Amino acid sequence: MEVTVKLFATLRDFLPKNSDGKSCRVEIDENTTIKQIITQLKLPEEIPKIILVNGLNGSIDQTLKDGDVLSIFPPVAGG
Amino acid sequence: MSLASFHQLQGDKPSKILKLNSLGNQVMSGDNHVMFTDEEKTRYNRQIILSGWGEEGQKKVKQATVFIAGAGGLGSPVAIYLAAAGVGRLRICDFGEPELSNLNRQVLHDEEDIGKNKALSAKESIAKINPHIKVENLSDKIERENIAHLVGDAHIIVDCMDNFPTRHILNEYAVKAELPFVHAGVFGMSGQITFIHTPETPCLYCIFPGSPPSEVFPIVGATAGVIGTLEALEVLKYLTGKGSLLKNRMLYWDGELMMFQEITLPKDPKCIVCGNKR
Repeated sequence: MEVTVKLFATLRDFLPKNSDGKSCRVEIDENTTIKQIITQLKLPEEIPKIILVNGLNGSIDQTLKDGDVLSIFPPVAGG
Repeated sequence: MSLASFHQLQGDKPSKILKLNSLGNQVMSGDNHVMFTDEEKTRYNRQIILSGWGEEGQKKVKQATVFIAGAGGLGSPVAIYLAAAGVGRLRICDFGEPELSNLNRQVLHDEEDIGKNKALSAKESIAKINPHIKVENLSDKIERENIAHLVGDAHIIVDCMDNFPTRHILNEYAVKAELPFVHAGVFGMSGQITFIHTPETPCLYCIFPGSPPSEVFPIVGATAGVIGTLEALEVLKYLTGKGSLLKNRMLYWDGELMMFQEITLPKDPKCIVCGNKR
């Protein structure tokens, strides 16, 4: 199955090269957690993140289903 | 502790007690003794004629004290627009000095200010923008030990910092003193902003427990202009009671794609900063 992953701000640098610059599609197995997707995309674990699944707040241990849209926001720290 | 009782502890006059507006937001109540000169009425006319602002709103703005934490990329537009709007007293805190590499975004400062304290430079710039308001320049580094002294009797804290550890110090104090706290951050061509006022909203630690690593971050000056201007607007909305504040939601702005995205923010009932203050 396949999910769409949207990355924002500094995290966009971690999108695969063939992406549209905003999001990418990721093939996953059943019971794949958001944490596993974060690891697969090599997003830095130490950065706290806001996670949305289909626009609703999600958690790192949540599993995804086919067609889900996962959005991940980092804290933007400059000032 | 309510903000009103906080002010009473600080020895403030009761005229600063808050009330609720039609949207349920806390707003400063006006003080009928505040008067405007003809010059001030002319200066602020374009906002006084705004529906829901009026002279009553302008009085609240004039009575207000705002603590601006940082006089850099975000602090510049925040201070400039709050000064221009007639906020009576700005407490601007920054221990740094303007550097040449700051001048692409820190529009309060120019080449002649290099080597001065940023808060002092800010005060001098603002005196030219609006001589009717008072600026208190503070050159201290913000720490847990001095935050209460630095914020003083300010009615609201504006986050114009460039790092999360200091933001968490501001957040902890805002939670403790029940002060509203406008949080924002910028990077490159993107930024985020939310209006924090516990216990009604989550605190910054509910949203981002921990800190991303400090780094030299890329930034286009206009990005700080966009997000800092939004912060100034939230402060003015809070003071006048006009409009609906960015409570319980984070606004992300992506300038590369020119898109805004809003995220609903839940409270963390186990938050170590605000979790027991519900």
